[in-house]
Amino acid sequence: MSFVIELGAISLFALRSLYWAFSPPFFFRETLRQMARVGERCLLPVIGVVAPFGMVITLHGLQIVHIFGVERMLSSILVISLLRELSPGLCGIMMAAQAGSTAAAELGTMRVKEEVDALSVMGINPFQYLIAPRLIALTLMCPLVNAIACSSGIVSGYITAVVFGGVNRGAFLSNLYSFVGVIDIWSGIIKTLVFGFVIGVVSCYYGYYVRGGAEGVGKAANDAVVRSIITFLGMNYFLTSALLALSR
Amino acid sequence: MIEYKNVDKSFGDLRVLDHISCAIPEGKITVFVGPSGVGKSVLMKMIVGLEKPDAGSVWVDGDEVNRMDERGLYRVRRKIGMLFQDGALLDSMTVAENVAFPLRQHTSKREKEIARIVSEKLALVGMPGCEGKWPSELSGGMRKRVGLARAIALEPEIVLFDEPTSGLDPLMADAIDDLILEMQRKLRCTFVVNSHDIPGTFRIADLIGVLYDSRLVAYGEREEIQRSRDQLLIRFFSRHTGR
Amino acid sequence: MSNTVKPSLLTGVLAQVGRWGIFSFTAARWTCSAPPALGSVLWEAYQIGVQSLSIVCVIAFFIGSTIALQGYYAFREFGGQNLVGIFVALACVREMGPIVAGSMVAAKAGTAMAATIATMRVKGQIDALEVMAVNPYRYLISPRLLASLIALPLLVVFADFITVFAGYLVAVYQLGVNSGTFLENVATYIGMRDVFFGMIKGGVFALLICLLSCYQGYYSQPGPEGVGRATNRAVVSVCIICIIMNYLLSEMMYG
Repeated sequence: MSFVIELGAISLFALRSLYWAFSPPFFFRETLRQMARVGERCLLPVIGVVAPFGMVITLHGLQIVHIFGVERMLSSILVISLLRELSPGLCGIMMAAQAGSTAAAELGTMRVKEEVDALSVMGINPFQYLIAPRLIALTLMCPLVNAIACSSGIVSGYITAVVFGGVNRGAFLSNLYSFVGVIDIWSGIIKTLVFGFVIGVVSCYYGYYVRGGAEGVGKAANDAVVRSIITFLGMNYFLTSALLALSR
Repeated sequence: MIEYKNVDKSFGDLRVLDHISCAIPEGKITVFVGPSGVGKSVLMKMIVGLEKPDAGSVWVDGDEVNRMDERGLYRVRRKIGMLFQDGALLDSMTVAENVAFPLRQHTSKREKEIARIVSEKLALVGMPGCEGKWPSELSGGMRKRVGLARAIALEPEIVLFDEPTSGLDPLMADAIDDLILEMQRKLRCTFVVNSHDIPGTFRIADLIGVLYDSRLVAYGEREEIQRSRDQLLIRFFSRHTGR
Repeated sequence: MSNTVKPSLLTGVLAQVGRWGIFSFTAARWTCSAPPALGSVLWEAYQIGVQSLSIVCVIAFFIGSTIALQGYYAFREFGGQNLVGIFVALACVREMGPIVAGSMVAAKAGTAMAATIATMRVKGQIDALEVMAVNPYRYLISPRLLASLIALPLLVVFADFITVFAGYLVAVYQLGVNSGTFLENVATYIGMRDVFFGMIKGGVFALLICLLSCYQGYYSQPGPEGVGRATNRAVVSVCIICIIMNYLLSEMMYG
């Protein structure tokens, strides 16, 4: 229950961060640096999770299409499930575990070492210098990492189906996009933008308001991961409902 | 008796111990002094087998600890207690449970008996009646005292002190030194102490070993070391005592 | 003049894997040769279960409902929207149940293990255990290992139940699928065998989660940053290795 109350505080924190993110001065260089770090830290873990999942979907897909005798559907099932749901979800989870926990731990350490206060005293707004760059970096990098991960999932699915599963190569490739609409691409982008934003806000919140020394920092990093995952998977249900209803 | 024979130790390219040989007699307080980062802790950890020498050997009561397997090491460790720099109390347990921990693990004493020993040891280190406190509620000096109570819970023959006074204010450091002297009078067992506190060393030591530049530059009775005319030693001690 | 070889990425990874292998072997040997007290195992199992149960349920609910939505719209393409029960049952019980339970235990209990053991390492408490002649594998790792082997398969059953239940709610009340059809589809395509296989998956995940998290904690770098690093590495390595393992297990069980 306390988490629901905390969600209110997190929403206010999000509004405050957005306000400062869009008012000058802007720290472009710091933002770019954070984006590079997020990409560097997250790309391999996300691919490491999405690619094996592409293989699992293909494995089960093979059985389902055999039941119905529609082998040509296999690649569409793979691409649609990756684009709409699995790749954004897995990408969000791994980015929360990697980049979100890092952001929370860094901000928490700076808070504990009184560096945040030192910045304020030097006349630099911590929301602008510390939080806005991380928030923007996570929001923008999430779709980008997701796009790369999604392709890796399709490639690994292709390997499972065509190389190991004996599916006809032409049938697989020619049907890749036959059921994919523009809305599916958009739904992946919109979802990951939202996920990235949620991860950024929740992680920065728990890092910024850390309490209780070194152990507090560890707890903040863990809270950031678990609670951002709960929040964005909850939102995911409504996003999916809305996007699927839109697409028909 | 603890004996080092030609002990060498390096970490990567950094040589921390270079041909250390000495014998630590029973029933005395032996203090190793030297600036921090010269391998005093490593030397001490070799006694309990937490570190192994690259060359040479370490003997405890006729057992060569650097050659022993795990079971043998645990047999040796049963007769050794060690006080770590920050006490190394287990955070998840209260003070009483920490002191009782070795008793519960290694003896089949009944709870009543354990409670009696715990309060006795806590009284001995000057912390009576704080059984229910948690390690995070204690100051640095108190944590060291509880760590000492835990180290002597099994009535060991050898007690090792890793920097017992570092990080304490001068008054508290004096109090710990007094405690070490008093304990030695009561328990009559072998104490080995690491320190970089020169005045404290002269107060408590029976024997002094000076580690400098990864070598044992002097080792002997306290008076002998204090009277030494060796230029290096004179400079070393005067720099630290301000004499 | 130093002639030490700089470790490359590959040798670095190989060395890590090798060290993990030795660590796991030692942990297994101590667990078998000197089993920990039943009380401490059950206490740990209770801790892991309670720590993770609520979040497993919440996440399982969201995942189940989303799977039903996706399945419904995907099958509607060729007029099979009433078959959504099959899709929900297969996807949830065979794959998502074990994965939800495993990933959440990794995120909650696994990180807690890594953080606790890393803190003990950093504060010198593991050395203190050894000096007190208490074997850290036996005292710290064996109980956690057995406890996660008990707790995770049980959490998998919870996750199975809740994902399918959420799928049912969404399919019947939001999408208007016939309740009887849905339940009949679930009952026909899923048997005890699938639930049991899911629990086996859970057991394998439990081993991996516990051994990887404890390993990262046990070999943590010094300082408070070391604890953070160990925790973070634990989650990420567990996620990747569990998902790869999941593919291999699925291939063996259902392939």
